[in-house]
Amino acid sequence: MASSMVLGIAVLIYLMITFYLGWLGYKQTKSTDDFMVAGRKVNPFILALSYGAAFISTSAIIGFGGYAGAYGMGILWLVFMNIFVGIFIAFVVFGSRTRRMGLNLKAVTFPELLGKRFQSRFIQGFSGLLIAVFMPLYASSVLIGGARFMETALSIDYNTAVLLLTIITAAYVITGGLIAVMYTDAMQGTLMFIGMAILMVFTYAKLGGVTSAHLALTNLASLVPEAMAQQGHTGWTSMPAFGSPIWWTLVSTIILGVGVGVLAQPQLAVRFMTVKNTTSLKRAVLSGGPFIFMMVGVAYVVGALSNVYFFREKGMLSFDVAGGNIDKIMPEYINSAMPDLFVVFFMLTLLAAAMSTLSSQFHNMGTAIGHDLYREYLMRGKIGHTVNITKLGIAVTILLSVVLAYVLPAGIIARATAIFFGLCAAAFLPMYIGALFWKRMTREGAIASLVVGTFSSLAWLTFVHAKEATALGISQAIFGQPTLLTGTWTLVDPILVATPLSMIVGIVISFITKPISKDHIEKCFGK
Amino acid sequence: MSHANKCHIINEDINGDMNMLGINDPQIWLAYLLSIGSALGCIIYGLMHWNDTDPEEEN
Repeated sequence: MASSMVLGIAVLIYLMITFYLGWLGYKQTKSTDDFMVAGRKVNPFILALSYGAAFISTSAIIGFGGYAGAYGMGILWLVFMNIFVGIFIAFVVFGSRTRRMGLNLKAVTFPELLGKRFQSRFIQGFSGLLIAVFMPLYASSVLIGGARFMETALSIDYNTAVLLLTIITAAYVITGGLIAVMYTDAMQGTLMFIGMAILMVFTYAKLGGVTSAHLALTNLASLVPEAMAQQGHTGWTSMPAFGSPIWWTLVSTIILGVGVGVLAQPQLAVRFMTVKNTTSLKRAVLSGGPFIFMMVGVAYVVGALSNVYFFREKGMLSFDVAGGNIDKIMPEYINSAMPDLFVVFFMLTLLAAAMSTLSSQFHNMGTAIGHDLYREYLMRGKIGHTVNITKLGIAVTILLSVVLAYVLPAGIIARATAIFFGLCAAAFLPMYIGALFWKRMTREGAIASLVVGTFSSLAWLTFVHAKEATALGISQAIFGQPTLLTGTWTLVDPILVATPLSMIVGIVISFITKPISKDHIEKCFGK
Repeated sequence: MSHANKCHIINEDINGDMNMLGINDPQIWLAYLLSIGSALGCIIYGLMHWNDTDPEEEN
């Protein structure tokens, strides 16, 4: 009872601060640049926290933390990828060029950067459409995670929770644009950092220190259930058997899909255009790296170690304590192992994680519709009702996310993050790399890469990759079989097939088509 | 590193296999150490380039 009162007060204070920061954003938003790219003068610390908080959602902490609880520490490779690729490579290699090119071309969104670089309204419009159609899938999974937390923590009805979460987040995104989004992200990121740091210290302390805790987990290897062992599970401190189904999912979907896919996330890439110089990006690396480590590193280590705790306390593995639902491993562990007051604080951490990701998604979906699709593609650059359409776009895509949250089968929702990351990698990454680093890439090459990447990725997950194909049921309905290919192919993530294909097509078509004019290349890259 | 510390980090598990930080699969402890190392690397990089000036900057 006492803790629910504390939680109520904590949530209230949290929401008040959120609204205050949203209001600050609203006050400072005077131009389109302010609304779209936060006026291009964001502080590096705010950038790092905002990037990290938007990147890490509830599904990373709860979903992937639970995955580590069930399948072990192999997922730590994703932590390394998230820091090395997601922060270092992203900020230093991609970020600085993205920022400079964005400024040279006066681009305010990720699709616009690509569209202007390749002088193609089609690229901008199509990319905007892709974001508007598929990002709600990702947003709906974050929405569900956040609402489920509010349902249990605050004892409110799930439907009310979905609406509350949506309305609160939408309010500050629509009024305050990216400035409000990034300010609130930074505050939410700080909360997340403190919450996860405490979780790490408590867990290691409870289990007798770093080495003892790991050693105890290593020694549980003999308890791996037979069914999981057959799928390739070899214990919680060892990699799954090479080539086994668990290995393929871990390596192709999780480590590569999410680890590399992050580079081409439109809602993250746009943040590089919000700072005033390259030094800001380099400074942001300082806080970005440790932040990501504290989020995913702690979640995965703690998720895996929950097995030791539950085995000592109940003689059971985490997977069994959670009733076979891996999404419940982290909440179960935190509820039973952590002090009450921390449970309250952690609930707030999760709320912050959900809202910071949602706000960046809402903002990005809105600008994709209002700016990329409406203004640049349909109105051929005329301003028209861009600001209103953007706000309407935010509202429509939010509604779509909420509807999706109800309509889609549970199996698909859980896969939504990976689907979106994979699709972005295949559709955008080759073209984005070409835009920044390969002056010879032509408009036709970029368009071919975008189209081939998109459709090959969608085709692979509809007809071949078993996890999505069986859940969608389209292959079954058309061809009478759940997947068109069989065996190992059905385990290979779309990213491993569609991204290289899109890259090859982009290169080949570029070589056989006319290069972009020298003047334009100079404009893009600066003299 | 002192001998005592080394002994603490390198242990034997239930089967007598040697391990690092309580983890016996090099593929896992490598990932663990790389995660920490890359986070530290980010801090060092940020500090080293804190006062960089970019000649191409407009500011």
